[in-house]
Amino acid sequence: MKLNTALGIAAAVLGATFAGQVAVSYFFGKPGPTHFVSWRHYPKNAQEGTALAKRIVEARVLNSQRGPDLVLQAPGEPGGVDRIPQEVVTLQVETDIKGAGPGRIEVSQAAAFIGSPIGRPAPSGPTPPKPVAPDGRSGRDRPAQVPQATYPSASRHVLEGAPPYQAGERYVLFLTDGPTLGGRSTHTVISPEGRYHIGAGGALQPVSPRPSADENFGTNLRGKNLTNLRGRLQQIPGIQIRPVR
Amino acid sequence: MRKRAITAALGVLVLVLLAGNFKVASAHQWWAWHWGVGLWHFWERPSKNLGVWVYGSYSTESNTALNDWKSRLSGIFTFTSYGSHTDVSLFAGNYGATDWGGLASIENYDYDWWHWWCWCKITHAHARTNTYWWTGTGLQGVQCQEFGHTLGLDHSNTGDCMGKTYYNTINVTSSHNRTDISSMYP
Repeated sequence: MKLNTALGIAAAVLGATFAGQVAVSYFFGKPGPTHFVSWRHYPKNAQEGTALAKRIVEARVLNSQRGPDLVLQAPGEPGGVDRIPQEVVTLQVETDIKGAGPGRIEVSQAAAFIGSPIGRPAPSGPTPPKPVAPDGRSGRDRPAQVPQATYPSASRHVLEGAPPYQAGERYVLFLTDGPTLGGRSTHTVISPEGRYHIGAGGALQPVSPRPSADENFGTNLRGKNLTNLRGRLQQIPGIQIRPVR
Repeated sequence: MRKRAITAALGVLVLVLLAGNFKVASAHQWWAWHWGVGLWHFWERPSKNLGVWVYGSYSTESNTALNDWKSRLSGIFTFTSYGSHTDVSLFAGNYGATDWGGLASIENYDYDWWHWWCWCKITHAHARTNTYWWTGTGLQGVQCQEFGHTLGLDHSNTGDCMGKTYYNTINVTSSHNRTDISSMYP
């Protein structure tokens, strides 16, 4: 009798716990990353990264917002298109390391948004058509993307290798020509190995999780300083570090 | 006798509930993404079959990648080709000078009530390659990888297309992919 009582209590507790977990998961849970990127480039060292970049800068993020989607005509898809949301980041260049150009630049990257729009209105530019729900099976299909607006980073999926930018952050960026969005040319980072967050005191946080063959490039810069990366780059012909006035 | 039966039943119930409070991860899986097919979803889609629509530029290379997966998963998973919108869209197009060469996306999903208890059941997915960067067998390899992502597979260093651009330059599947899919979809 005692054993059965104990098992009964255990079953009740576990049942309640299980039901609670399911309820929390259903009402408050969010899906994991919905986009999986296969990067075009994978530079293994600083020479390769530098060769891929047209411009290398140290820059501060002025703002980040959702830009026009990349759109491909796909007549059989809902809405007749395949669309990939884009984040467009405006940065102020503080230091040129390779190449030269405008002091204010725009960088774009693929992005995946979840949740509802919060706060500020949508950025100016062409308004994409409202997504059409797909032909459904039984069940409650939920679209993975939400229409245009400006989002705080908390409502974003984090794409591995392409986390959202936030105003005020500083980065070292290896840049090349990016896609044209809404008639505007943008830059793009060569790969996750071309983006390094500059923290307090010059502490670097590389974005890439992928192994690097160079001790002062890519993921090997984690825990190191901006001086390490600058020193490594200055070994490469054509690199000249100069502040932008 | 009756008490023993009750004890046994309660014991089984406790074990089941204990197991239900944990989630089991599969090898090389992309987060918890999976299709609602097979054993755990036998009342909705007992057959492990997905519809695939191949369209756009370089459809020959896309179909070659799809046929590779069909052959690799023969007997454990099937794919039916359609000429219209279905479970998976496999396509290529020129997206311009993006930083990515391939991109897989979960376009629609639902709550899995019977297996993972999360918003992780795929109901529609896209596998796409940017022809600005890839053509020929390289495109086939990227499509091979992106299609694997739509099945719920992560990148992996297993000597096949799921490691392309990360670990190797291989454009085809391997026996490891079959093992992973078998474990994800019993």
